[in-house]
Amino acid sequence: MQTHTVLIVEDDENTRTRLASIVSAHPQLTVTAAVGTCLEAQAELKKGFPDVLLSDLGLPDGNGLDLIRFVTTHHPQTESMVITVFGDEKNVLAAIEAGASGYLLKDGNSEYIGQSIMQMLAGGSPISASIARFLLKRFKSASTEPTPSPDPRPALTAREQAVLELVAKGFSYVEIAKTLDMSVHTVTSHIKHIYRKLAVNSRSEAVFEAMQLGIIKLTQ
Amino acid sequence: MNKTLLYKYSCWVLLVCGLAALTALLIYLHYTPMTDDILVMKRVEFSTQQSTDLPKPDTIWTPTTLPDDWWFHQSPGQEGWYRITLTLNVPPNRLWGIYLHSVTMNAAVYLNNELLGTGGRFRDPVARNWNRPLYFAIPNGLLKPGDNTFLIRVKTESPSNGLLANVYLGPAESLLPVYERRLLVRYGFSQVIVVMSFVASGFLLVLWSRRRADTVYLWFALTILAWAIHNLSLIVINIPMSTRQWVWLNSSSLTWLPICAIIFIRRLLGAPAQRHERVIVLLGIVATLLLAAIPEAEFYRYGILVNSVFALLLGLYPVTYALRNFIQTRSGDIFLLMASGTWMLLLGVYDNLFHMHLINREYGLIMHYSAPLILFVFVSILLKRFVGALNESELLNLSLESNINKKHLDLENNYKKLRTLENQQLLIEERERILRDMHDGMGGHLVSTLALVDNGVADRTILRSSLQQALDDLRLMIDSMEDVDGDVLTVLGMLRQRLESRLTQAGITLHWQVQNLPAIEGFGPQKALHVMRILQEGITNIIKHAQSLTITLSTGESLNAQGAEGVFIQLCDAGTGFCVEEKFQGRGMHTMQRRANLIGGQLTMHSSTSGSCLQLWLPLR
Repeated sequence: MQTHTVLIVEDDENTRTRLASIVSAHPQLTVTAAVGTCLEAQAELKKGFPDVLLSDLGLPDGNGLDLIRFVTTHHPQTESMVITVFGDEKNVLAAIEAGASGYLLKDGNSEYIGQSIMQMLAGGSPISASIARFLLKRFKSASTEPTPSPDPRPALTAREQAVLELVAKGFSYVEIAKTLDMSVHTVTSHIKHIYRKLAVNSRSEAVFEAMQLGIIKLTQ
Repeated sequence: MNKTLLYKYSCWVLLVCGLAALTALLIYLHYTPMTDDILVMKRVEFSTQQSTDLPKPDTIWTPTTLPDDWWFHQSPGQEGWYRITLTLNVPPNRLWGIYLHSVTMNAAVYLNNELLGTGGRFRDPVARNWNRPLYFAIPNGLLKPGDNTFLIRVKTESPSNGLLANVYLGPAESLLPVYERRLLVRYGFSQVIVVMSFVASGFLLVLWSRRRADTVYLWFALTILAWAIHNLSLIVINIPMSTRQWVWLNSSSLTWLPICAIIFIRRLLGAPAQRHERVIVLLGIVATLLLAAIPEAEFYRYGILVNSVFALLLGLYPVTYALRNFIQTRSGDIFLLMASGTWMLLLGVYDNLFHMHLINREYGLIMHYSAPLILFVFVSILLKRFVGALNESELLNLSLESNINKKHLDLENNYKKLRTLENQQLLIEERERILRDMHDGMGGHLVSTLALVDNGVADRTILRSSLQQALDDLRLMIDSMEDVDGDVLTVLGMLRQRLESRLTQAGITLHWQVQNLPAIEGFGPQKALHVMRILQEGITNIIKHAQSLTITLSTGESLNAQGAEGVFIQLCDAGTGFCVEEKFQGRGMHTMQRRANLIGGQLTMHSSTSGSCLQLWLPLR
């Protein structure tokens, strides 16, 4: 059985210890390191990239988003997850835009944490009804806005749109799979693709804006 | 040196220049340089024969000297003849001419019984040459060696009015320049002045017609018009009416000149129309009518003169009025008006002396020569006022615009302030709501957890459950504040996710049978939170008491008992059922009912042995 390496970055000691013990208890996961600052995390990453990065956002010497962005750029095979108390829209989406594959609720029990990480490694991404609604709005405005070509921002496919809409209405993965006549795995991977597009979008938007300002030019 | 001072100085300079120019003109008028070869015929003979034929040899000739003013004759008639004898040794080998310096009213010149020329018509109305010097060329060969007799017939319209001034004989090339210069200065200039006056008057009338309220332009136009009409006598030789009518026109227009000037100056200086203006106008009308009515002899002898003096006295009014105003205001414009008016008045005095025959009449009248100065000064001042009014209105417009802009900004600022205040108020209300919720929900859970610890409860699962509830409550609150665009289903979806683990733990399957719902008006965080709490309570109850393995959550549109449009959310279990009345008495139910009322909804419940259903109905509006 393959074990996956996990790097935990969390500044609250108690939470960190708890998470580390829960993750190590999982048969398919091992904790390479559990650190509390960005600096330590960078040092660990220099030694080598893990399979999974679990990072808090508010760290004493920086923002977890920078870590996630760093990992996504330099070692995209690593799956990042942001650890959050509430799983609220703002934090989760910031993490997604930085390249995270999902989010983890800090106070979840051991079953939930293990399952979430394994699901992510299997190619899925957690999503909530409100996040789905937000994404629908985001992608809709991108498509209805008149944008001059070349427009580097991708749009949703019809299937992805359908999945998002059902998620926004509170349906579970199983129910969505049954309604859209696809497997649960397909549903989760659709969501992952949507997340990737959002990350691309946010990067592309930055590119687009830079183009508008004349900072960079598309080489023809 | 500031502007007003400079202006005052320039006024003085202008005035002095004007006076100098006029003085030069007057000197020029009197000074006629003559060459030596011009003969001045001063010793002449006069006969009062009133006949159109040449005087017969038996005519009595009285010696006299030129200039000869008939005013001073014993019994002046309307006609007379002059005889001038020129003795030449050798007839001239060049073209000669005869130049009559000044004649009133018309002359015909004969040389050796040959007619050389006339100044126009001799029949009534007699051609009026009083302001026009006459020159007649002497055809070659007419002058003989020895005695040459010149006969000059002079006719006038009123006996005492006749005049013959110096007669000059000489070569044409010497005499013509003298004649032409005199003609230019006396006749040519007058023509220009009259035309200028009519044009200026017309101009001002047009201007006034565009700005009826500014009567100052009208009155000045009328002043100039009266003067122009009066000055016509300077240049019209063959009049289109009878002499009496013409002279009456000339006289009465002279009266109207100061009358209009009075009203003009009063308007210019801002005085309102007062009664004595009407009196003056009435006087003018009376004078005009009187002049027309009095018999001819008196008219010519006294009428014109009296009228002229009357006009001069009237002319004192505008000048003194301007002087008074100047003393008060020290305005440069008023000074110019007053000075040029005084100058005109002084020339008018000369003209009056002329009419009284107190000065030599051969040089003619001079008041009209002040017209260019008057026109220049007065029209400049009027234009200045006009332009000033334009500038003022432009400035007013600008200041009005800036006022409007300012008011705009003020209004905008006020709106902004209002909006900020409104926003602040909304924020305050929202804050209070959140605090209340935290107090009700999470605060209560934490306090009870504390109580558990204090009471010595050491069971980790109980403590954990209590703290978890607090966290869940906080999560619910945060969920309620997510922006869901008023979509009830998304809110329900969030609730489902929060309760998923509890349901799985309890082994209960949740059937999600939701339908698309229309947007509810004003479905914000407050309503969302209450809906979630109600349903959470409902689900918790089912988990705890209903002994059901399934929960079905369904939504749809329906009308309430009053027929209002709305949506419903229904929680049904497949449990054992319970007594509804009893349930409704319970505290949990009470809270749910209260929450439902707070958001304007209705809570209903039915139960049977096959299951119970809790329904929350919410109005669309």
